[in-house]
Amino acid sequence: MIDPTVLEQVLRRAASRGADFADVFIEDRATTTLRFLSKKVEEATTGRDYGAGVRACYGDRSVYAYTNDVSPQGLLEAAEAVSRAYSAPQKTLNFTLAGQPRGGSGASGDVAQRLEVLRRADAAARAYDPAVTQVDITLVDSLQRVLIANSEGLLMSDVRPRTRCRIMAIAEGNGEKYAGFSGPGASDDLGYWQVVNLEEQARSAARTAVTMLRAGYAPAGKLPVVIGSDFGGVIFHEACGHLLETTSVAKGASVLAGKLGERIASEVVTALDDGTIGGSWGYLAVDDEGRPGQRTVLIENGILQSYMVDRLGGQKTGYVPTGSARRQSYRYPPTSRMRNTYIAPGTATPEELISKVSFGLYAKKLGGGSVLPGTGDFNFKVEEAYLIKGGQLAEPVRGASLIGNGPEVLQKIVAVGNDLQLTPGMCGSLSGMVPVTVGQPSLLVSEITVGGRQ
Amino acid sequence: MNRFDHPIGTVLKAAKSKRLKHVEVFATSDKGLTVRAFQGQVESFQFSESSGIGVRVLRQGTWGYAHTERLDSDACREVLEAASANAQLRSGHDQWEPSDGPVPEVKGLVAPNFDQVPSDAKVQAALELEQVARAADGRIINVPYAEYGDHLRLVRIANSHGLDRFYQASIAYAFVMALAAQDGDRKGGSQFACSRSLDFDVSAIAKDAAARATSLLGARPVPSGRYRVVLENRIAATLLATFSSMFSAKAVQEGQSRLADKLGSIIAAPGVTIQDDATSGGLASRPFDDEGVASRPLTVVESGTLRTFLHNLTTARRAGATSTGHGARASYSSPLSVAPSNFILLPGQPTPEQLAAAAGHGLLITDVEGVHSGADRISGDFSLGAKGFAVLNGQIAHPVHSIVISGNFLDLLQGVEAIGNDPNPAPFDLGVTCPSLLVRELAVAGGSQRAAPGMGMAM
Repeated sequence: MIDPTVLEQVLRRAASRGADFADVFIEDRATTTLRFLSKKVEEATTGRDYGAGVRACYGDRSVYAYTNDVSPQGLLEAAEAVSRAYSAPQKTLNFTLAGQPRGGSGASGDVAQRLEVLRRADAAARAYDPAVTQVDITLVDSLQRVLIANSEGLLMSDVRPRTRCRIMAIAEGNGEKYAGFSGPGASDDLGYWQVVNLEEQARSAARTAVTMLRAGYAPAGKLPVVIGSDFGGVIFHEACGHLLETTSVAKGASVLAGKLGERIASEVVTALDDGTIGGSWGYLAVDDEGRPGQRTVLIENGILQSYMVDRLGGQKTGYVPTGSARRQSYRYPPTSRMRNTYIAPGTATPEELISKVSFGLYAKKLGGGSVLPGTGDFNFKVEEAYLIKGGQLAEPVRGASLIGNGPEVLQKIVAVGNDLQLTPGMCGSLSGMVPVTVGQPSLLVSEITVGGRQ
Repeated sequence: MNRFDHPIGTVLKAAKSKRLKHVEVFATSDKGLTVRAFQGQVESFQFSESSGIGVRVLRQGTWGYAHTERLDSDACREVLEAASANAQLRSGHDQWEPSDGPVPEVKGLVAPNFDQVPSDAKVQAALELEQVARAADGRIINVPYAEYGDHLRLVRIANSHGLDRFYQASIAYAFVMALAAQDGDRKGGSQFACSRSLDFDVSAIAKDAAARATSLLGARPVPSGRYRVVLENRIAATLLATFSSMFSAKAVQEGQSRLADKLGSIIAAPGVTIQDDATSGGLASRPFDDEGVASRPLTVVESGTLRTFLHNLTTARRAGATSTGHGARASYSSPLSVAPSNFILLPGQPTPEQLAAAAGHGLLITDVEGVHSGADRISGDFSLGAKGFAVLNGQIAHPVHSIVISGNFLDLLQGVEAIGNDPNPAPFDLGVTCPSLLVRELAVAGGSQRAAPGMGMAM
């Protein structure tokens, strides 16, 4: 995309007032979004995002500028702005850019291919039950090309295809409406939709909507909960994952800071964050600082093994970067983020976990959540739930939020199932929204606060 | 006139030569600065400069969209081609009568001194946020976020019918979060302020964040049950912002609002009046909406009765109504939707203390979590982690945490028993403003004691 000699000039300019490190991130992303509503294309948009971010670091402090002007002139102006914010004793950075830019087909599909995907999902959701009165589907496919260079001589490029289909089914009856979701996706082109069982995903959205429309509300209070594997990993993502990012660890703003080698979870918990799962939604061949993707063991048998570390986080903490630097786009400087985060499977079947509960909740499908790393207090939404009575599944109950404290709930995971599943989601933090998967087998948690109404 | 002259000219000229009759260019540019402070130093500085255009084309009764951040002539012609192709994916019945009537003059969108505030003052603001919060109380152990930011935005809309108008608006904000600890208990408190320029009291914001954190130390759950609740102004405003989509004609027409058949019906307590006014001077003010329609004041809910939905030109035509000037695009990359501007639930007489006194036994909620996931905009149901204080005999008692409040937004509007005199904007959702509300009843999940159905308050 850009002449390396220009990038060298940009890096030298950015670092010209005593920075010890500079990098530049250039992004060109083409996105097609089709929204399908009432069995028709409702909105069709095509976009081209194009911009660059230039960063200079002075120890653990950083200056960042971004621009849409990716001409040599525009890049140099951004670098100049970055250099002027600080000044430190002059340093000479010796480097020559070298690297192996990665290729990539970047094949893109046509309109007929996209319409076929939308029609399949729509038909499957509607066929599930006549109570499904509306289906709202958004199909996105994008191709992001990035070029990364830094003052240590790194020159790296990557081509990242991604596609996702967000299916919302709305069921209606008795003056009420209830929505169910499903959102399959992959680091792949539109060919993915030939491989995945899209109809099953659409039926899952419809099942949630119809079942919950007819359900009463969940009980309120502390209960034992079996958390199913469908987006169930959100509990680990919120209760633990965010607390292990150097973004908060480096500032002592995580309750899990400084606990490497300590027991932080029940010994049945082994957890990983893995960017190397090819084709997965959270796949990262190289991270947004140009480091190769990695598989990072976070917790082994309850003992904390590693944090998730970006370059600046590494500078602040002394931990070695783990290929976890990510950003939504050139508009954000990178920070440490999750990729595919999951709890390793155990041996129990989900039925065995349920059989251990005399009265509790089976959270079959989960939704989004959030956490405050400084306290560890987290919450997440249950989209589809059932009561457990006498070790058996009983009537469905409407989703409620579950809340708890991360370090406390990690100790309350008493058994891990054998049904690991990775589910795509979008994670928001300091460096914007990034694609991640949350994964886990079914878990039995001895006690968690259920925000029901009964 | 500005940097969009060339891209707009290129798109509209290409449209003419292709005989495309209905083409609109929506262009925005932003220039901004963000400073974060940590441990007495500037942790990060960020400069941003960005711009892009979104092009809409109406063909065969259907809109097609495309956007680009490359603004050279080739990219501008390509974005028109793409939008035109996207319009042909189906046929529809949309028509377009773009508004070119006069627009009101809305004063004060850009602070007169916006360009004159030196960078040093902005750096100082971020540093002061952190220092004051840290020093406010011996129990403050960390101030992980202390941030000042501002930006100047330009919005320009031009179309093939000859309309070409623009405005600029400035925004400055400060955000701080403090962490307090005592006896193994940790609590966070945050505060946010926003204005047209750096004219807010940074020290007061920092002290308030610290006080919010320390006041929650020693909190405990209350037993599960149904409670009368005072929602603090910023929490009430957050809920109002979250569920404002129920008032969107787009949501109604797409089968995604429970208010669909409620025009003219009573949907809230008699004291509730909700207005939207993009000309009021509030932070979401603008002379025209994102398709160029003039802004005007609107009463959405009048003394409990639903008077109108919010419309853009497309939803208005489909409903046989007129646009209320609420066409909205989240950015040039987003299709046209509907969104409120300065959306205000009008204040009443009682002070927040009088609301607590009126609550008798109940809860004051000062913090909620997980609004993005725990609130369902279609059903109106919400279930949110919350913190606050027990209210006993009309007085604020001990702090409360580890509870979940649950209810339905439409039930909440019907159950408003009193409205405070303290309107406050929703943090990060600039135009939506609400006073503290006394609400008849919300379900609360709390301590291990499981409430029997219909159990009353037990404290």
